[in-house]
Amino acid sequence: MAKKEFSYSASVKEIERILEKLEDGQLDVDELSANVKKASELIKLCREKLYHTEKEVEDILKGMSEGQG
Amino acid sequence: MKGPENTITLLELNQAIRFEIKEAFADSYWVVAEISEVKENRSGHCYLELIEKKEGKEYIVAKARATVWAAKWLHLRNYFETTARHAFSSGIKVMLLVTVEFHELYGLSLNVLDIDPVYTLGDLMKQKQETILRLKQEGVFHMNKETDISLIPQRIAVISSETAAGYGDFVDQLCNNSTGYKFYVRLFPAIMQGEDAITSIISALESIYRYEAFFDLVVIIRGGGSKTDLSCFDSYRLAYHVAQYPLPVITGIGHEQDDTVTDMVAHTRLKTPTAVASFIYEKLDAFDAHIEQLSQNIRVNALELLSGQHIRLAALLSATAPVIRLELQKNSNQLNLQTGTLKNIVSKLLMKYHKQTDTFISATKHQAFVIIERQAARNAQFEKLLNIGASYFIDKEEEKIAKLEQITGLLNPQHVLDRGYSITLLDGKALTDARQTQDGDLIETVLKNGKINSVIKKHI
Repeated sequence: MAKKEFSYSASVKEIERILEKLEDGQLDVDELSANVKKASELIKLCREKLYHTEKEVEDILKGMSEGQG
Repeated sequence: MKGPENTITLLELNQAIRFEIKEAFADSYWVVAEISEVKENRSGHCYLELIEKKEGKEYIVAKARATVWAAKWLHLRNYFETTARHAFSSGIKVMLLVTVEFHELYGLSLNVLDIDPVYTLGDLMKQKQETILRLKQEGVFHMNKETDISLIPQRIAVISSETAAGYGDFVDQLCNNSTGYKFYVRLFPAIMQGEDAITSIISALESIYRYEAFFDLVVIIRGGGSKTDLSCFDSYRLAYHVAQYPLPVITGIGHEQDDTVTDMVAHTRLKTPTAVASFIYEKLDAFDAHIEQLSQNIRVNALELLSGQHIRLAALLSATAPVIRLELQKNSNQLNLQTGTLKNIVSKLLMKYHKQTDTFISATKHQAFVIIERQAARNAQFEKLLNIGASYFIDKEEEKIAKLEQITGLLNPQHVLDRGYSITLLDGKALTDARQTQDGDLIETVLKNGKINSVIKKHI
């Protein structure tokens, strides 16, 4: 059974990590762009999952049997 | 002892027993027993089977039938179920006020007049405590609480009754939320009250288990409805399954009273199905807000960093510019200085060399003239000598030539011819030897004046 490959908690941890680096001033201007871009992508992915239906998930759901005993 | 001649009929015996019992057991008695069977017939009477099990054991040591007449039954049952908050069903222990009846035909029977629900309550409470203790001793009591609820519980398995209002409300609240969060909900139907509920719910849990990796949590819900018969949720079997379940279990079985054992072992206990829906929704909302916050913070910090960089650059620029300018100025001045000095030196040098060159040139010129003149003088002298010598030589040669001419003149064949000699030619060539001729040859004789052609007749 396909477990969600995309992990919310891993993504959030990553975003928080980037923010921390930013706040501590550990990032120089060159790394800034790459890191902010990465954070943006992760944020976007999270929001997508929150708000949009995933067809594969719906299909798995539909395919389930109730198996009453 | 009476012998066969003293026999009585069965009826007589039973009648006698009946009489004795009526005498001996004229009172009403509060009796504690376990209900092993409850049957209601068409006329509305309730027939019970009461038993007693050996303390702590499963085998029965006493048994009796009991009756609750229709008129009493309804009232008694309502009273009991309201107070004890448990169905009047088999399996429970009750305290009944009974009278003892013996009928010749139906045998012994107890007639139920009243019931003390508090006893049952107490007993149920005791059982509940025992169940809790047992689960704790087995180390499973907290297991479900230790499972992690996902940050974003979107995939939800619901154990409920399809027709239960609770289920409808739950789905409606969750799936039609105004924010637009997406949930994936799947119902695994089960019977939610009575004795059958225990097996039914456990079966549903097992069905869901096949998709354990897919779902985020399990929700057990039912509507408020009947305030009784939550007893199934105090069942050790059911609580055991829930406690051990690998996914977090949230209960919302719609009651205000104390938690059932299942509530206690579940990860989270909420009062109603809608409360459960809210709980789940809140998780997503909190996550969404957190993400938003992070996003903002990143934006703010990034901008700060960038503007910080700009300021830094600007500061650096303004700090370094004058220094650079100063340096440039210094260097420029130095350069000018050096240029001037250099120019000076160079001009001096050039002048020196010019002078030198001029001197050299004039010296050379002078020297050249001297040499040329000398040479010219020599040349003139040489010329003179040459002329003298040449003339002398020429004169000498002329003399020689004159002499030669003379000799040559004397030797001229014409002079020979003048003296009377002749030349004989054969074929144009001068003949000197007679042996070179043959008789009959044509020869030519050249005299001083004229020629003669002749033919040889005979040579000697």
